[in-house]
Amino acid sequence: MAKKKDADTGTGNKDDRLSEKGTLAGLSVWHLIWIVPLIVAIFYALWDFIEVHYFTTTETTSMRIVYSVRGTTVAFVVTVFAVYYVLRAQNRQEQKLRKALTELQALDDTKNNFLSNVSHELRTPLTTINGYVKFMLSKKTGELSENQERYLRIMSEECDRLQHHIEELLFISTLESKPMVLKHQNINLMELAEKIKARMRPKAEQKGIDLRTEVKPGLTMINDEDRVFQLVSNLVDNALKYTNEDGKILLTIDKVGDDIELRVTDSGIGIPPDKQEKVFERFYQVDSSVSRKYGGTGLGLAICREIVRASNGNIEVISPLPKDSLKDLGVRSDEDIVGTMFDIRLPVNLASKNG
Amino acid sequence: MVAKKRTILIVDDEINLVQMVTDILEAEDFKVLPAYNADECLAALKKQKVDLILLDLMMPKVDGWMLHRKIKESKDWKDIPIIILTAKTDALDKNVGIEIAKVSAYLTKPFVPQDLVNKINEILNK
Repeated sequence: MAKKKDADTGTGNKDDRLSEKGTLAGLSVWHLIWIVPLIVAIFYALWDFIEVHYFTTTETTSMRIVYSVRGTTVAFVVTVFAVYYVLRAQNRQEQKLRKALTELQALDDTKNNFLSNVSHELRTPLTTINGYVKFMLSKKTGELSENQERYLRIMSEECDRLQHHIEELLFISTLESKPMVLKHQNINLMELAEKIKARMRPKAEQKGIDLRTEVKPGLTMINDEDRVFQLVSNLVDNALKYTNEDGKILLTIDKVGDDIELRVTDSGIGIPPDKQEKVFERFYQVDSSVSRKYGGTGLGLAICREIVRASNGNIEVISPLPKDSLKDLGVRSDEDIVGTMFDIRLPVNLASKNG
Repeated sequence: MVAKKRTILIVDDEINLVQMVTDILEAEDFKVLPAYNADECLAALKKQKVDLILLDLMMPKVDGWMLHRKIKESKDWKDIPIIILTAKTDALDKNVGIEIAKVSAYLTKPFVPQDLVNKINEILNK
């Protein structure tokens, strides 16, 4: 079971990396301020001890004062030098890193602008193709033979798919240049589940997959309806992709404490434990042979994570499925099924956690 | 019923897209005038009466918003409804379009042809 905490990733990392470098043997300024005087003090104490016991015959108070003043002064000077050295090294390292960071950010901006331009450029021809295909399908240009209609229907579906991919690409590239802004809408979760089921049913029927929803009656939440729809439908779409024919998919929505829990469980091929963190990365697919078989841009789950993050929620992936989940799904435990569950927690009210 | 054909002016620098929209709207019994840039748009407006304008935002030289302002500032054309037809999906652009520029509708590419036809009919029959 892999946990995908949302607080531990993101921009914070960059700053951590900055402060880690530029230290003396891994010690920070604050360590040095007490460690260096301590070492020097121990050294002088020893010296003092040796000198007094082996080399001098008479011990005087004034000698002790001389020793301790000498020790303190040396300790102070050495500390000042050590701190100065570390701060200077840190400063240089920081400047280097900042420069690298600026360069990387510029590169990232270029990439995002490129993505956004390309998506726009792809849209215009697609609009024309899609327009004509749908125009012909509407039979306003004349009757179609059975085959012609079938060909056009397939072209139309593929146009929609291409369009969806372009939208995903554009969505993720805009997200990087500015943060996602969520609307505060009252969402009826039962209706949401029905909408998702209606959208996904044709695909499920095509593969002979049993798609069920279980929603606690009367549940509502405050969040951006389009984004939550996108989140859950991406997960169901993902489940449809990786579930074999005659498999099962279950969408459950429930309230757990102050959170709404959305779960998408499938009897599919599962995700190996070492890949569970990575599935949320952009363009990632478990392996390239799988991606060739199942298709997709590899952006769906990355978009899911962004939406969950923007809502201050949490998403985790569980695979293989525990016994209880298999039972809920309606699969016998003696069947050889791995399965995957995406478990999302979102605050009931977006505003309450955003404050 | 023999109503006079409604005239729609489409302004977009994409020739094939203009052709596609023209074909679809002609099938719906509209008269369609193509214009591939701002100058052609203004020339067409001077020549004849137009019932509705379909306007692309991203065009070379004079862009959609500049053209929009020119049309709205003229007393002869300021009442012609304008539908923005654009590949810009930014919510900001859309809000500017609807709330500040007061355009009649804002459609993003790719759009479903039937949606466009419905929007045009809805606006013209108001």
